[in-house]
Amino acid sequence: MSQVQGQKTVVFVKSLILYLFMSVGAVFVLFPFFWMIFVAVKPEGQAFSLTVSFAKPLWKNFISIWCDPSYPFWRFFINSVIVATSGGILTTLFCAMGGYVFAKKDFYGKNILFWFLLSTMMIPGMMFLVPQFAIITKLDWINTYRGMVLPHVASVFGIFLMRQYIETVPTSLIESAKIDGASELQIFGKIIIPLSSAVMTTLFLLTFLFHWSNFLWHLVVNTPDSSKLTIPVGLALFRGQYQMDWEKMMAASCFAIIPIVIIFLIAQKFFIEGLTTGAVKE
Amino acid sequence: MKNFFYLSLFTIHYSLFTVFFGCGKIQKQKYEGKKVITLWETYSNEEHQVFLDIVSDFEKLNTEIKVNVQRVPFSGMRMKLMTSMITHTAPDIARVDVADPPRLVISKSIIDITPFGAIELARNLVSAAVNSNIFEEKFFIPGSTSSQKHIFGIPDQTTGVALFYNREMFRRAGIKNPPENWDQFVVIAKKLTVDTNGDGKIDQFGFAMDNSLWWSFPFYNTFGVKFLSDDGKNCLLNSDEAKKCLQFQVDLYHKYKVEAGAWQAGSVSCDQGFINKKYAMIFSGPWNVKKFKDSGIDFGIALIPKGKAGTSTNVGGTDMVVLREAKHPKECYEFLEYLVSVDAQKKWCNLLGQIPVNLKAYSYIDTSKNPEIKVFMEQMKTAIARPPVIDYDQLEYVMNQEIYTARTREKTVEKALEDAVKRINEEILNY
Repeated sequence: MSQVQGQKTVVFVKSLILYLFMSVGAVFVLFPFFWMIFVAVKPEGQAFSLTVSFAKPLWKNFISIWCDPSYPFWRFFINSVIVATSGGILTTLFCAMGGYVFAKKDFYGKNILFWFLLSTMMIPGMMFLVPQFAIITKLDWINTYRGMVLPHVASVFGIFLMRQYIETVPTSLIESAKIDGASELQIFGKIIIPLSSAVMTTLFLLTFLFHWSNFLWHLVVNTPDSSKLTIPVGLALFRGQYQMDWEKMMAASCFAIIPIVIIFLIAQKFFIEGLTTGAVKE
Repeated sequence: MKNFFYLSLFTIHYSLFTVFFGCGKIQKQKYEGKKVITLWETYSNEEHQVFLDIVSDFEKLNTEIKVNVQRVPFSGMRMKLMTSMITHTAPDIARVDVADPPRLVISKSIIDITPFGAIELARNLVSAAVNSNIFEEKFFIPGSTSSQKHIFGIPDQTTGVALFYNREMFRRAGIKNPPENWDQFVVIAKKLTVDTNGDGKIDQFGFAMDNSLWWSFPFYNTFGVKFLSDDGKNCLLNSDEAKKCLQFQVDLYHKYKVEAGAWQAGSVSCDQGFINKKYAMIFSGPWNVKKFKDSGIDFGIALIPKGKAGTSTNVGGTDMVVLREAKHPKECYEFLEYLVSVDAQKKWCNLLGQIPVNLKAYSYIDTSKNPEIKVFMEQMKTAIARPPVIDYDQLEYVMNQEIYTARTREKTVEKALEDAVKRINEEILNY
């Protein structure tokens, strides 16, 4: 056997072992998804039965989710899309603005203000619930997208993330733009945003996920007859005190994860890049 | 770069537009000349449909009243109710957990429905269920010593646990009937605790029990344990009955070795072990009957074994309460009265296989469709309501910890109960 063939065999065996491990990992990761689909195609009341039986027709639970007049899943879905995308975009925009100021501008008390903002991250989110709700009620924003999105637009974590990244943008670049006559808005829009696209995508995804799965706030700022209820609240309706409609809940969950899967598939490159940005100082 | 700029502009405008203008308010339906009652409920899908049917029957009989039913997820009801009361957006009637009324009474969030004739109505209801809504004046009026009773809610659904046993295992062990008292229970459980594959390890247990207080009430109630003094100011769990009761639970695991240790963290849960045929007997409720049937087990249901105080069980379920700001309290009460009427209960229980809250409805329940419900109906007659404490969750928290330390023998039974009494007195009754 030649040396080249030997090396090829070693590479092949290494790859084989690697793929084997990765396959096992993939099975562990994908099993809950498989089980979700498996339960979603089962007949009513059979979620805990280990015997393999399927609903007739197979897609009965999926169809009933969309066609049940007493359960407006399509409305929950559209509301979730609107709230999560708007929340994601606005939070990213405002955090980028805040991060830019904290990273590149000098003003009196900047550091104190920044550390003060960071210290608010130590307060549990539940503490804000009642005051925020009282404000939303005073503003008459109950049952509105505004009420669901705007209180979370100013994210301290987002400002921190953006500030850390924007600090790595060379100040000389901004100064050159100024010399060329660029306004603040132009510098922000044409230099900072394009250069920060990776971390902004990450922040958008995290915020999108936050809004997509936010149950408590969406429940609180909507009355039960609201037309603005979202998927987490809708899914929780399948649960009674002692009973759970597992099959329909899993069928609805299958649809609920689709936007997240699509967004992650599109943005995964940016997401990983954004998370690792700033990990190494050079 | 230009495209990127326009794309950014578009997305920002899209977001701002949808957030600020996509907020059409709900068109409130007008019901001319009708008194509208808003009701928040937390039923499952199946229950919700039957409930709407009952509401429709009520509206036909009371044409001047409209009941506006709104669904709230069960898991978020307490928080939703709390926040809505802060901002005066609460409904007229709400369905709350059986543990909630004490807190709602103390905070004056719900109204006393005694003046509408609720005491008379309560006489026909399952006493353990309705008792969780009855409070003496000294409980909710500061400084009062009066024992005058007032009703603040009506149970819409009641439940409790009974003894589930695996018939196949009983047959294999040559046991004909389920145990009637705790002595028989231990003897039978010993026969059912076996090493089925001969590897020297026990793989089938006679019994499995949960750790929490709620699941332990059947023990305490059958042993005749009194939780609180008559004035509700002192915990009485250091009594001889309580010590014997907790010692019995400890012995099931350590002395008789018939309990699987299902109360320990990370162990196979009672339900799952029963389905997997690892546990021969467990406590469970009507909500699991369908699940167990679907899993193909041959099982029976019996009354909780008798102790010194006879057979008894815990009480779960929910109550309907009329909130402080209800615009039509009299009409709200009329609806609650209808909800527990024989007609409504007949429909509710026959369609859903649940235990009626109205004792007069018992004879109208078709047990041929749900034979298991017969045992639960019998069991509920001797059920005992939970101790009326403001913070039931905290009581569970304290007791669960102390029960656990006794069962693991970290503390003696006496010490665990003494500590429980001290903590309950300090943290719950006289805080």
